[in-house]
Amino acid sequence: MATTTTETKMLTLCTSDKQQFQIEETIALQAVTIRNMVEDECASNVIPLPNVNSKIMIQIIEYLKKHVDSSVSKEDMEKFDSAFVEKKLSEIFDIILAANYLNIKNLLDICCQRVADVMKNKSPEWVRRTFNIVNDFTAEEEAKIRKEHEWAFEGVDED
Amino acid sequence: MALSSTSRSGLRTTTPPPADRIPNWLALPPDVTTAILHKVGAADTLMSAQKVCTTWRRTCKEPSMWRVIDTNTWRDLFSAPGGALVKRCKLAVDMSQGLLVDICIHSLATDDLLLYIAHRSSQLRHLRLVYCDAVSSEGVSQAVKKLPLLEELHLYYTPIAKEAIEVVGRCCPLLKSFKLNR
Repeated sequence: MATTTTETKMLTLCTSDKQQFQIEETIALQAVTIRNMVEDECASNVIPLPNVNSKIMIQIIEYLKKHVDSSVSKEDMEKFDSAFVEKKLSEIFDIILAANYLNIKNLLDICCQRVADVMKNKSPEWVRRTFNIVNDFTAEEEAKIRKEHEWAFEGVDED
Repeated sequence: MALSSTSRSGLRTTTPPPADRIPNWLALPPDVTTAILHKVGAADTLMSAQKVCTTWRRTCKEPSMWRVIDTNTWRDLFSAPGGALVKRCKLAVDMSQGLLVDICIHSLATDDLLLYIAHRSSQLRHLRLVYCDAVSSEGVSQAVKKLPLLEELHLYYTPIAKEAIEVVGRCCPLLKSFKLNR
C-alpha cells in the first residue's frame, strides 16, 4: 500500500482478555462497529472490545488486513476467503459471533455460508449430531411434521 | 434455551466429536441463524433443517426464507421416482406464501407445475426454465397472464411458439430480459 511512514494512523484494540492490538486505522475501520466508535469519538486511543478474545482477534485482523489491500485480485480474494473458512466449526462459531458484533458483513457472510455448506444434503439427525442440537420436538409434533410433508417426500431417501 | 429441554422428548442424545469444544448453535442471534438457514437454500436441505429443532423450524417457516427457489441444487431428486421434484417444488412455493420472487426450474417442469406457481406467486419477477420440454406454449401463455411483475423470463431448451412469445410481450410490461434458446 502507498502510505507515508509517518502519517499512518494507528488504533489500539483491547480484547476481552486484555490483550492490546495496534493496527492501522484503515484496517480496523472496515469493522462498522469500530468505525462508529471512532466517528462518535466515544473511544480514546484504546478501543475496548469486550466480546472478542485475542485468539479470535488475531484471525479477524488477518482477514481485515487482506481485505483492505486493493492490489489483491478478485480471484485471489476468493481463494483467500475459501481458505480462511477452512476451520473447525467451533472456531467458525466464535468468528461468527465476533463478526456479527464488530459488524463485518463479508466475513459474517462467508462464515454463515461455510456453516450452510456443511448442512447441505444432510439429514436432520446428522445435523443434530454435528451441531449438538437436541431434538426438542414432542413425539406428536414429530408425527405432525412427518405427515405435513409426507406427500412431498414419497419415493425420496431420507438420508 | 432450547438445549435445556432434553427431557421434553428425550429422543436423542448425541456424542460430541472428541477434542473440539461444542458451541451452542441455538445461542446465535436470530438474525445470524436466519442468514445461515437462508444460505442452505430453499431446497430439500431446508426441509431437513426445519426438522432439526423447534427454533430452526420457526425460522424456516418464515415466508421470506422462500423468496428464491433454484431446483438446480436439488440434483439428488432429478432421478427420484414419483415426480418428487415437482412435489417438492410445489411445497417450496406453498412455504413462500405468495412472496416468491425468483424461481429456476431444471427439467421436469410441467404446465401443471408452472400454473401452480403462477397462481400462487403474483410477486414473481424472475422465472427461468431449463430443459423443460414438457412445458407447452399454452402453459407459458396461461402462466404469464398471472405474472404481471415478471422482469426476467429465460427459457433454455424449453421450446415455445411465436404466439406464446407475443402473449409474454402483452402480459409482462415490466419485462427487461427475455431469452429463448431452442
